[in-house]
Amino acid sequence: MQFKISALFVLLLFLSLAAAGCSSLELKPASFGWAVEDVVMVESDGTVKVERYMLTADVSKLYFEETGDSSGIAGNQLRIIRDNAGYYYMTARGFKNVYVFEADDAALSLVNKITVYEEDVLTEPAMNQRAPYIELLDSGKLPVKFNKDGLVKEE
Amino acid sequence: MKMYFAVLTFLLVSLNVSILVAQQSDYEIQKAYESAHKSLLQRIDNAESVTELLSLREEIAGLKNKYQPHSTLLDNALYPDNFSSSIAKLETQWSVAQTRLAQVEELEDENEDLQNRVITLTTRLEQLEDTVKILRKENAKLLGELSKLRTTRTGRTGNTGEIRELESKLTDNIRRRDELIAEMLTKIFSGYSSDFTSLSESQRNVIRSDVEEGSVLANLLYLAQDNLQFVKNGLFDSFGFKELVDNYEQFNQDWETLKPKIAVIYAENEEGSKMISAIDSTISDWKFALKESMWSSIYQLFLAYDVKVFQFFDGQEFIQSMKQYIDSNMSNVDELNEETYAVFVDTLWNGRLDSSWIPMLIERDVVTVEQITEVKQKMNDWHDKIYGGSNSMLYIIIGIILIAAIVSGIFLFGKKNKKESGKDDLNDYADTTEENEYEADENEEEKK
Repeated sequence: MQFKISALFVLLLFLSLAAAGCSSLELKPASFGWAVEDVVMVESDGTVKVERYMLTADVSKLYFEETGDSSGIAGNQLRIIRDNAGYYYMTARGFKNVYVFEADDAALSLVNKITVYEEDVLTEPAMNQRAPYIELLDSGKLPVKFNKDGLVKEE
Repeated sequence: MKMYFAVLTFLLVSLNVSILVAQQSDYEIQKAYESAHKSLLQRIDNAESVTELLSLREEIAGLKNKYQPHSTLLDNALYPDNFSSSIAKLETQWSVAQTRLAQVEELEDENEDLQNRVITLTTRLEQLEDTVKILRKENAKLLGELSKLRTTRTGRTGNTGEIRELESKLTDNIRRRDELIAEMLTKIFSGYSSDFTSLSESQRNVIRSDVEEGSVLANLLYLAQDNLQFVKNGLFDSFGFKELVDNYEQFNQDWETLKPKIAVIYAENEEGSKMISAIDSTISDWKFALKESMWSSIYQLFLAYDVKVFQFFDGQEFIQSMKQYIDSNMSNVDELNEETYAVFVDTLWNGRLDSSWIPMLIERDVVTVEQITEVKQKMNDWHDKIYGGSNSMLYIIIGIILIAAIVSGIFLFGKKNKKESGKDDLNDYADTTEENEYEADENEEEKK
């Protein structure tokens, strides 16, 4: 019995030490927002490159997700912007959705997929930085705002 | 109520429309600004006049005003620039372009002035060249006439009036040509550095072209040749000859100044080098001809009066010749006559040489004062031989007479004084006797 108590004590001690060692250093506040969206051309290998921010990503799967086809996407324009929280927003002409990604280990992981207009596709989309939101404009439509969680209504 | 609803609907629709119209992508704003900025920058760079630049300055101000409301967006978007620095870049570029264009316009003005100057110069050179050609033809004709007249001239009373008139015309023509060519040279070379080695190839080409346009080298050669011919064909008095020498010296001096410049311009140009050598050679001949002409002119004076002196070609020979002539006339007593003496000494030497040629020969170190004194001494001796005594003997005789007169004067004066002093002695004696008698009387009275 005494052995069990001792073992439990050692285990608790170990866990508390481990918890102390794992507590992360956090720098706050931090802002990742881009002043203006970037419009980049999809390369023949399906990648896009944002020169100013040194961002490169393969967007083939994004197009496949949106249209069900990732062939013939070379030359398409993709619009990308990053909000202050560090999430990337991507959309393009002909899309119905805005895709929200977060940076991962050498990857961009989908966080959210925001459907802007139920019926229509985007014809002339453009995204503006309107911290803490991102604003989406489209030709002949009212602007909408959203964050990583989805559309927000104007107060 | 229905009316109220309609107004509300209208307002809402209007609001939506205005929102739709007003909405603009930041990306579009950035791209539009960048595009306008780039275009403006290019147009500033390509501007070709200050006037064009002035309108671009207004466009810069317009761009700045138009995008001022988006300055915060552009400050962030225009990495690594910002709105202010990008406008500043335009303004700096504008200033650079303005300076450049001002310089270009200034250079263009200068260039235009230069072109006008070239046109004026070319026209003037053509006029000068034409005048020089006419003068040259006229000179050739005059020289021909002069030569003809001289070959037909005989004796001392030749047709000198006509010859002098021609000579005068020729001298005037040559002087005018000289002045015209000097004007050409001044026009061609003015405005350039005196150090011709520092001239650029294009400047040398311009000068060479001008020199060729006015046929300057050819004209200089012709001028030297004509002067040479004139000197060769002429007999001159000392004043005319002095003018010729001055003319030669001026030409030679000008040529010595000009030659190094011409040599630079015609470096590695065979034709130019030949012309330079030809002018040098003609000037050298001209100098020699002047010397010959001077001795010839003096010699001709003797011949004109039939005075047979040995011909002379330099100062030494001239003095020698004069001495020999006098000596031969003195030694040959039979031929001694007053007329030969009078022609040589009074007419030629004193009348024609001593007041004109001789001072010039001395001035130019052709003969010395001592040599001339020697010749004059010989003339005195000659005079003595002819007129039976020398002046010095006369002076000696006069001196002796004077001395004799003085001596006799002194003698006579001395004698007269002696007589007067004898009278005085007697008077003294009388005075003394009177005094003695007076003293004796006084002594006798005292004794009493």
